[in-house]
Amino acid sequence: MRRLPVQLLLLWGMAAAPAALSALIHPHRPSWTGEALRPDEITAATAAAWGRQILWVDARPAEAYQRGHIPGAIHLDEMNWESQFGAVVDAWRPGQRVVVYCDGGRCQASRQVARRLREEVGLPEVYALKGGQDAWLRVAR
Amino acid sequence: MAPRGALKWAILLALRFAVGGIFLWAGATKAWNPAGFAEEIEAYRLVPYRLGVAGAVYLPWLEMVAGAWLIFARDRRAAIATLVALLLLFIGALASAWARGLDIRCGCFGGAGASEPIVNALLRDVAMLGALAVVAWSERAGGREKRGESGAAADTLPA
Repeated sequence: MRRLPVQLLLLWGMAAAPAALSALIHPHRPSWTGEALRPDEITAATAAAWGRQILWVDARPAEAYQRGHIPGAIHLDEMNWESQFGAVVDAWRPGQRVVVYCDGGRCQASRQVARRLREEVGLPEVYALKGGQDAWLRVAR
Repeated sequence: MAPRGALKWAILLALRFAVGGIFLWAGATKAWNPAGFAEEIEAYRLVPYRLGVAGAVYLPWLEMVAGAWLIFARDRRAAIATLVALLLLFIGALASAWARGLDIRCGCFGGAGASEPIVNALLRDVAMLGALAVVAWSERAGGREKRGESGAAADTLPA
């Protein structure tokens, strides 16, 4: 019978080998270069947990929205703010959470639109989706 | 084997298979999509981003190896110690999320069990901790019996 510390090292080592391989070649491996989650952001996993309680807002350019968007999402970009934000206010119901998204991890539009919906329109729970539509599509697959 | 001994053996085997099986399944669902699991960890807002990524890559495999070790190995102390540590980690994270009122999903089984309330996951983890305590206690008692028997045999050897 091996001593416990040796056994523990063996067990943890046996897990480390496939984990290292997974970090290198797994098709769904996480990125090491991402940023920490901001207080006004949520992950796609959290959005999936909230389910139908969400009012989706698409902050991408109109052409991208017309090519395809998350079902039920309302279009609102900063270029057309004045003419479009009323539609979000009309669709919003008290207690409903608003999640704003743009394309992927690098776009800033969702954070800007989310901030304006909070500060200028006064909606209470507005979040930007970290990783944008790309992250949502990975979770919703 | 006496009927009582057989019953005890069967219960312990069932506990080992149940806890080990749950960890094997949980690890497999998370190892299938480590990027998704990294997001689940991130949603807890407890650890720096890269530490969460490292956990998302390593923890599923640790769960699977420890779960299999608990079921198949003869000496199960390392698996018990590892699984107890993992359960304490998970219970701490879940309790913290619950206390902070975070409306997130557990992430215990990757994308599966998405709508499971955090309190259910907490109760399941506490139950598994109890099951592991029973297994650990019986292993210890079994080890003492074996040492006692060999000691008694040594006492009876002729000088």
